[in-house]
Amino acid sequence: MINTRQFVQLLASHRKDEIVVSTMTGDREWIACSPPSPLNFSVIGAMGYACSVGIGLALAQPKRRVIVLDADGSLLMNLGTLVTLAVQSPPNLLHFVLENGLYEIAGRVPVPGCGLVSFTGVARAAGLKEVYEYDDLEVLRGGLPRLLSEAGPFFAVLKVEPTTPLPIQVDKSYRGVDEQARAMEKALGFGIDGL
Amino acid sequence: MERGEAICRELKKAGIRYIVWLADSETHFMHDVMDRDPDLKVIKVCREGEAVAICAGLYLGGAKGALLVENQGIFDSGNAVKWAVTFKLPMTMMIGYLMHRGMVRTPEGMMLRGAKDPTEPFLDAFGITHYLVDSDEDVPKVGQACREAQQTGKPVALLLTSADGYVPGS
Repeated sequence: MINTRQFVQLLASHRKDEIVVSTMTGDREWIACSPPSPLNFSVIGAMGYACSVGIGLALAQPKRRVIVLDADGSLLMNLGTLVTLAVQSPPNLLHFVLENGLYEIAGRVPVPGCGLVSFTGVARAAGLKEVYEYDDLEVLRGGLPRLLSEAGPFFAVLKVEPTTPLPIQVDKSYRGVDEQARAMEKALGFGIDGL
Repeated sequence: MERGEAICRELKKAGIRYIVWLADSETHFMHDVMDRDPDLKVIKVCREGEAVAICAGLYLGGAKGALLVENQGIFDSGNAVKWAVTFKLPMTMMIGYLMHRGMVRTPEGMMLRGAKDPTEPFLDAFGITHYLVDSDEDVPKVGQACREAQQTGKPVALLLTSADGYVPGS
């Protein structure tokens, strides 16, 4: 099993100018462990949609790697996104799913299908080709450079330990969604022309 | 020019290059037109909430997209819609107004077989301005809606009724 914080620290050590879209536990750890960046985007208040946001970003910014830090409970809410990802197939998208079998934020209740569902199996059945599963941080450390540089999309399930219980606190480290959006626009170099 | 082509032209004039779509019988008239248009990329989704989130991602990355889904699907996407409003996402929402042809507008709202249709109240609840596109003369509202979304930083909805009389299942 992989320690989530150690994974996040490993990823942060490799990060250059990638966009990182994160949600739930992965988001909390990413915000806590990685340097602040306008290229971070927390999907809060729209559980299940981190991958979908990542797909849109990857299509809009084809020259930039987009990393999604997703969670098992979130992905279960939007499994169809794996089909969309397979069809659109943006080569610059790396989709991590942190699988601990729990809704950590909602009382550490097991997710449906805990122990039964194979997310890598679902991903392959949806048409994704580059599908991986890691339960050892050192093996992931060896594979990470490839995941960050070669043409994907990559889908990687990380079998992670539950994190230490920590109540969510709305503090200065969490920016509002619109504030994040404006910061990312500025970092990517375009104005708010909108849609 | 047929209505579907005219709508696509309005979208492109507003800079829209992506249509994030889940097939809808009311907007059947848009299907082939979108697919044929070399300047528009259609992204098919499996659930309507995905369309909202993908539009958000496109916007964050500097691209311009609009969603095209059915009103029934918008009901199902309430959390995503709420998030888009919170996000201040300047999104153009093209929504197939299913069953509109059978509705009657009353002081209490749109009624279908004696029951109040929730499409417009649903959008009102989120503070989303909506415009009806029920004829070829209404098509300029599409461009207006795109500009309004851009200027206000809010989702704006277009309720599209059938232009080809398609009967679901045929």
